[in-house]
Amino acid sequence: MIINSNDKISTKQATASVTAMIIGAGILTMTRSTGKEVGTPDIWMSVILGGMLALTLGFVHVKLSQRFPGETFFQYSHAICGKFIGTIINLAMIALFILLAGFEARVLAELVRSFLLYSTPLEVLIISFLWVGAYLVAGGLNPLVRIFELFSIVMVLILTGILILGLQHFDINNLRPVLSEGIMPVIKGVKSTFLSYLGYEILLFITGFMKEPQKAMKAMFIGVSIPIFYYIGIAVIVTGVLTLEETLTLTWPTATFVNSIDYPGGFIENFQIFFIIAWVLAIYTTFSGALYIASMGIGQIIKKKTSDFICFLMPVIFLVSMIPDNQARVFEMGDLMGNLWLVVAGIIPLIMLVVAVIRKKGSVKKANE
Amino acid sequence: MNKKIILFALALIISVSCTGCWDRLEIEELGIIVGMAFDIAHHEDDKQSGDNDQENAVSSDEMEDMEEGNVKGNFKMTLQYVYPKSMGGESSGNSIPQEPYINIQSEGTTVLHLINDVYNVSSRVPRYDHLKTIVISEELARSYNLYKFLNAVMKHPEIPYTCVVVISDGPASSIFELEPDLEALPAFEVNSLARVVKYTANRPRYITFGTLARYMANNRSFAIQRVSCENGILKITGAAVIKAGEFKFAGWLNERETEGLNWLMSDAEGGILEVISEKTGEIVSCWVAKDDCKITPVIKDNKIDFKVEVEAEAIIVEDWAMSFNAIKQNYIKEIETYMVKEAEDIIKTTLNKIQKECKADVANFGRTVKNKYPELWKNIKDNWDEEFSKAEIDVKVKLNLRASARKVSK
Repeated sequence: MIINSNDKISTKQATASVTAMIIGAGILTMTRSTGKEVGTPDIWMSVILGGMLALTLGFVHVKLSQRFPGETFFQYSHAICGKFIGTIINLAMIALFILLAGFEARVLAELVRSFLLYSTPLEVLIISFLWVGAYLVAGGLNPLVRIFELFSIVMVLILTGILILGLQHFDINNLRPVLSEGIMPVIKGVKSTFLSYLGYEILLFITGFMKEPQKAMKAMFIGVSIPIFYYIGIAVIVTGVLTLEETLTLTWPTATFVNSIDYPGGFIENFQIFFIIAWVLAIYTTFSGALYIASMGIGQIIKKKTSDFICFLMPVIFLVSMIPDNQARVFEMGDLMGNLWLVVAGIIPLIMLVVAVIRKKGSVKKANE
Repeated sequence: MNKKIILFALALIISVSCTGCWDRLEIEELGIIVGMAFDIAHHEDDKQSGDNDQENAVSSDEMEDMEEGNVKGNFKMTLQYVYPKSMGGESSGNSIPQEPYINIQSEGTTVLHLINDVYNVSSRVPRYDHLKTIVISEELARSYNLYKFLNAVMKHPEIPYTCVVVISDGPASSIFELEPDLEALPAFEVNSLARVVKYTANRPRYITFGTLARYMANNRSFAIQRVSCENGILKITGAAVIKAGEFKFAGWLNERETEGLNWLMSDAEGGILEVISEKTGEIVSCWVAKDDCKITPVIKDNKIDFKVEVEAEAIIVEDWAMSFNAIKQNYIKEIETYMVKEAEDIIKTTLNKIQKECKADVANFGRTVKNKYPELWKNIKDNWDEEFSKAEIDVKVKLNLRASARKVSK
């Protein structure tokens, strides 16, 4: 595929894409799902370890992509693994992004239905969301990364705001005792933090579009570090304010945490509503990114234009988002996806990098620059 | 051209059919609720039971039902609505002067029943987003598990976690019937009053609904502010003890006992220490400026005891013998010994009350055990209040007396 020069993106845009892709639905329930696994207030440690894992895998992704300048994962997977296995891997990747898009759309609908529109049918919420996402993706990569750039700033501002406002209710005693049951529960929790870190894989697909692909590593490090920082903040503040026991009882711990912010003077109230409206943007970026990558994947397998497949994907994503029949199943689906993701987007690229190095595929020189 | 017309028609149809009509709610149809009060409903024959003497207003067979776990209460909920016309200041000349609020009552056997019954008596759809105050009557707290009772309220997505929760010593609904004072609505009045904690120590720190949910999820005993109205004057002093596990009312803390509780919670700032000087026989009083309480668990022979070390600062305000002299060390030391004794006395009174009478760890001694001996805590946490009531607590107060900023003697 010839890359249009208009589709080139800057390093800053790549960084923002990583951040915007990572911050999404996961953060809303991260403290609860991780807390359930860990069982002690040491959730934040799992979050750090999960972040380290994401950084490591991001490193692998960038190394892999830099060996094949100007190509996306869907193209060089053939070069590394051969036509047949490459296609299977590509299909798995596409399936995962469809799953991610469906999940994000569903979580958004559940969130909006929980707090804003109580009786609006889920289908209506999801379909209208799909349309808006499709509209953005149809414009190609450049509008998409511009939206990433813009919204990632909004997300970072909102997160900073709620962390600062939450600080006054923070009680360090709620985080103690530290490591009361040793390090094992913390490690067990890493897996469930991973769902929140999904999305950094976007570098497998956009490194090829970067103006300066040699700076992809920098983009990855900064792009992943920003969410790590805010996730640690959220984990610490939410458990520090709500306590672990309370967090485990809440459907949307982060939203409830925002609800419990009690600003002295009370001239601003109901922060929760602002937070949820802002979070629609966060989920929107992740969703659009996933939709874009999935349609790009199909486009590159069949060697057609990306935008042709958006309309084809929309009903598929809609069906995926309607698979879980209740809210509990939605969260189950999230956990399952986190596990699948670890395999497909974690282990497979690692193996591919090893194979590429052994078989001397791709330009080694470029990678060493 | 034809295509454009079709697209336009399609867009029109979509925009008309997807406007979110499901959740349409006209602002004129909304009733904004700022206060919520829960009582046990009484019928004609037992109407006088507002008094404190008649504590067991629930009849014995009802009690049996409750012990079997059937929630078959008969509750009363009072909702305070904002009456928008008199809030906005647009006074239409000919209408009768109206309070800025309207109270609506509903009755029911469960909380959901209460919330639903509102639709039968109120023409406006209730919105709870701006709820400021929840008042629970002592009687209700005494007879029902508050965790079970408030669970439905906690699940309600509109009810903010920031509203203040208080316990009233009389009927809760009467709190909302008072003539409001400085604030426009009684519910606002209670909310603002409860939040004043910096300048007084005879009430515990205010509890928001979120805090309440947190304490209950953590199975922790706590003290909650007591609101009363005497002669039409709203007053918040003292505290009600809610015991963990059953989450029922376990006793009142009077002002002195609450002050002691605040000493233990490092919240005694604004408290008063009053003693009669042994030397002169006159009253000396101090204002507590700073309080820092450290609780350390001591484990000996499988028994948990505690060491309470308080470091405080106080300002000498009154000395009726007029012997005040901040330069004289002897004088300061002398007053200090009295004050230390008084402070220790206050704390010990409170400890006696919460350990022996209420058997509830409202001062959160449990947390120190949890932090220091997490292994041990796991075994005893379900039975902690019992364990706590047996603990021996050693109280030490270190007081640093200061003179007022203006005067150095007399």
